[in-house]
Amino acid sequence: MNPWYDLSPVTADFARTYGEAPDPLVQALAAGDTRALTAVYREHHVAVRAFASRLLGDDAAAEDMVQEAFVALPRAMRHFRGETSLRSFVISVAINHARHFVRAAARRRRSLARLGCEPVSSVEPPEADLTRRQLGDALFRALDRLPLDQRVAFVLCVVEERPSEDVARLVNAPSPTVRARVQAAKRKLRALLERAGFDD
Amino acid sequence: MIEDDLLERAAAVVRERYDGSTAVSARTEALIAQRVRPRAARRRWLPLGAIPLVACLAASAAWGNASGKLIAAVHSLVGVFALGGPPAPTTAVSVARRTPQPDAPTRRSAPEPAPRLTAAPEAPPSSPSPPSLPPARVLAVARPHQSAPLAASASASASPSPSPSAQPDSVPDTLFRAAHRAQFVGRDPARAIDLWDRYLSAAPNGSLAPEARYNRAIDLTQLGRKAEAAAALQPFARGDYGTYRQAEAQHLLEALAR
Repeated sequence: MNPWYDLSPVTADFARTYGEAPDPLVQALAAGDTRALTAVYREHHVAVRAFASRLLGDDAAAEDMVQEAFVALPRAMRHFRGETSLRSFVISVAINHARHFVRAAARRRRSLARLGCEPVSSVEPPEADLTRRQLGDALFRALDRLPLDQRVAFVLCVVEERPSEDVARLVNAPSPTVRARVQAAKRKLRALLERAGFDD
Repeated sequence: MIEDDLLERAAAVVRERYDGSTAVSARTEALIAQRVRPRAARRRWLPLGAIPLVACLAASAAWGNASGKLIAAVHSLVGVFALGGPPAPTTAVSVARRTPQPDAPTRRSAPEPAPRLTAAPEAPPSSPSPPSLPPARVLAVARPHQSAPLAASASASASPSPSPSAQPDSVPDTLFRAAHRAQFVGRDPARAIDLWDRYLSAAPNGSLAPEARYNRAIDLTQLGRKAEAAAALQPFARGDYGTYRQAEAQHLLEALAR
């Protein structure tokens, strides 16, 4: 039995509905069963949302991306072969839908920067926190200037600290390609952060 | 690696900032179910809907065959498409249409932009109309030169001179900028409220409308108009705008209630 599939009560429930199929939850998902989708959402939404937020740097856009990934999941299930965990598969679906949301988040950041308006917090954070926050914000502005594949590779490998082999499966690319993307992303990001006034 | 220290620190900030928790996960779950259910229902009824169509097609084919009209129709179709005749002339246009253009930008099979189904937030009482789109969270933009000119008066800021390289601002953009300056540079909440109202009238569904509504609520607080401020902060505190300004709004509401 696959580890992803061991959602005992849920799987047992779907096994009753979908008979002797080897993967009743997958069957149920592929059939557009909303109960299955809800079960999968509850199991994996935190990981998918964490990835989406780290990729976009924008809570609202990340929420939309999570929604889109789960809505697209039943149709995408026909490509699921059980070679990765279901969680990884949902994240790969989210990656396939990322382009539009990355653009939207970047556009919003640009729009605020163009107006020269930064949101001012009513509670002033301590200086150390402020520096960290500024570093995080600067990283997202720099990420906005990377190609999508490099951005995704950087977030998965460096921010989420996933092994490049896992990332290769997620983005459907060879491991050396993933490592090359990460290296290229690091070079550019480092230069952009230094230009923005951040240094070691 | 030492040389990656800066990136590691930045990545750690992002990793800690976003851990996947949110207050709106239940709402997203409901929206997903709402979007998927009609699709599943459609798929279930599709075979039933196809039965009359197939029956009609079969009946008309049988009738056409019996009356001999089917064969005539097939012949006329063959004539129209010249299946047995000389090849149709190939025009440059038709070749161009069929040949993939190497220089043309290839459209990826990217998904259609997702319809934003997040529940529309309620507008504060004085807002002209509620936004139909959900707000996006506004990230702090670190700008070292932000502490710059404090001398600009609110009235002057209402019509900022555009920089030569910048694109001309639209009216809402100008109003947003002016309101922002009136609030954070001119420190004139009354004027800022007036300008926020004008911005919200011009762009009630603008991408910066939530930010404008929040800032307006802050101005109301500063002017001591507590009831209006509380009403304006309620949608943020409730999570109508997701996590955007939610914690701050809750904090301010508590402070107003004291």
